[in-house]
Amino acid sequence: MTGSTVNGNHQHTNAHEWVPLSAERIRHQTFRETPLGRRGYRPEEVHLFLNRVASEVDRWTAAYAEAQNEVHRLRNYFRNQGVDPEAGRAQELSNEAVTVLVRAQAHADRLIADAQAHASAMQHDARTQAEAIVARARQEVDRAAHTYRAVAGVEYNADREQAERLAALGRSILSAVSGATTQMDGATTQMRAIGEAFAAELEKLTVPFAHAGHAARHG
Amino acid sequence: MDPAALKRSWAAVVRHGDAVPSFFYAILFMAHPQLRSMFPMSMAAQRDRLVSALGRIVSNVDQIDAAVPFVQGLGRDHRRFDVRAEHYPMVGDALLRTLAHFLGEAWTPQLAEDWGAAYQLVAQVMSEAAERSAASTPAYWTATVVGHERRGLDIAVVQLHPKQPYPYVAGQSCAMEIPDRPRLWRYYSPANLPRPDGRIDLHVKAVPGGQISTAIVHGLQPGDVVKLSAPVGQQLTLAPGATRDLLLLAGGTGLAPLKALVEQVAAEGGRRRVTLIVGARTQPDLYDLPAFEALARQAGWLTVVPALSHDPWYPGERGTVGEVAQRLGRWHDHDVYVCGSAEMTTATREALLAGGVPAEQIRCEDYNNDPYRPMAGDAVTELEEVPTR
Repeated sequence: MTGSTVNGNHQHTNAHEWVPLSAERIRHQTFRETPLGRRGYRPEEVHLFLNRVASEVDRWTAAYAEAQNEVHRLRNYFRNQGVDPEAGRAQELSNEAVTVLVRAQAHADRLIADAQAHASAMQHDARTQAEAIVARARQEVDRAAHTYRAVAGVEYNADREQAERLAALGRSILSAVSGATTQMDGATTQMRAIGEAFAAELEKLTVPFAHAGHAARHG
Repeated sequence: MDPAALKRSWAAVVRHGDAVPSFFYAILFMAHPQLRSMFPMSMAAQRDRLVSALGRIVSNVDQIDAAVPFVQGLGRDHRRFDVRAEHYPMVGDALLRTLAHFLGEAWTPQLAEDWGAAYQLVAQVMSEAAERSAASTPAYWTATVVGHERRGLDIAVVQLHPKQPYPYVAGQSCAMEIPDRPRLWRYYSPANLPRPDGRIDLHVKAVPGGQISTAIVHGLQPGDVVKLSAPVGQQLTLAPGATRDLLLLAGGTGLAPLKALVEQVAAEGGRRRVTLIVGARTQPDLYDLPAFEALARQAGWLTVVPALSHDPWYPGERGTVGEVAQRLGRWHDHDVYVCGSAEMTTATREALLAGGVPAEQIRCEDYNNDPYRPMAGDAVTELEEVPTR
């Protein structure tokens, strides 16, 4: 290869036809001489320096190639170990995975809120019923005492009135409890259904999760 | 940094509503699945919190000086959620990705740089405060349940034994997490002065549908280990040196902190007269009356009056606490402490004001200024994380 001229080099600045500046080209680079009467560098010194630059380029090129080999070797090593060296760059998360996760969480949130609302309503009802049962029992106790007094007349006995009161209380509570027991069966079934639906949804929530993680790595 | 651009872009993002936190958490958990377990199963209550607080604080970074104490408080408080320094960049990354997603074309490299820098600043204030507090205070205290006593229909008195000394002042409250409901915290107030053996009584009412309170009342057992946050609250503590007589108004288990105050007055020699009105629905709900009646028999300075709102057979005072207080006297020269549900507190406070008690003498918990509800005035109204009565 013959040395190109400095002028010729100007044409090579176009990026599309980039020719790497090899050590050899540096070594054989020639310069046109200055016109007579004008000052220029001494050709020997220029060539000496070019030689130094050329050997420097040689050394760096060799070092670069060695580093490249090392990168390839390491990349292969990690790949063989089952580690994806590109994982860090694949952080771009797929919109689809985000959507799946958002929807799953929203669904879980709604179920939990429903379950809470349901529990809340049941507890409110229980409280109201309990207070109603006690109120009715108290009324019946008062009525029983009243009846006893009307019937007893002169044979009135305070202990006897207390016994009548307690008996009325017992009867009232007992009937409320037996009424509640029949309701219990329905409530238990309902609670079990809620529990099962919830478990099923929970399952759905954890599955897209694993899926989403997978999609993230390859998306 | 261009604060106006930060605010403008945040305002634009906020317009997307609930989709913003949903997206944020999805991004965060997909990039760092290990963080999911730091949050409760239902994210409904969480949604409004982290993202909106973050966005607001970060976009107002030009006024960071004013917000520093608050942001430091957040940093310290987040230690109990196991938040560590390495989590801050993960959250910051998810926040920026969320902004980029919702801003689209408007997300310029310059804006990204500004947000990144602003977030960094806030995260630094938080993590530095957390680090400083880690030198002197545990992230949370653990305590063993040593007593669990059911009272009435839906109340339990729980006794805890903290494993490390747990310093607090009568009238403060602490957030508690129980093993059955991980990542969900609720506030309860110790119902006693700090004791030599360190044991703490909590009064817990099962709120219908309440995730935590029902689990505490129906499920917690002696031997269980719970977590406690650092004690908080200045509203219901006795002001040092105050001498006015006291009117204490309790609704339900709001009795707990007021009981601690009664113990404090007793410990200080009973120099202030105390009138305690104990509000409840029906007689079985007067869950702690025997203890008070015993105390009142010994202590001439203490008067205890039960007030029942839903018990027409009750021979004593009937009506709401506020009504009964008005019936019993004038209280303009008393310090008045009110503790109960938010509705009870509001109604009672209004009744007292109407009855001529100066506002500065009425003390109750400020539900809007909850230390765990960043930025007062948030439209968050769920039951989560407010002291439950």
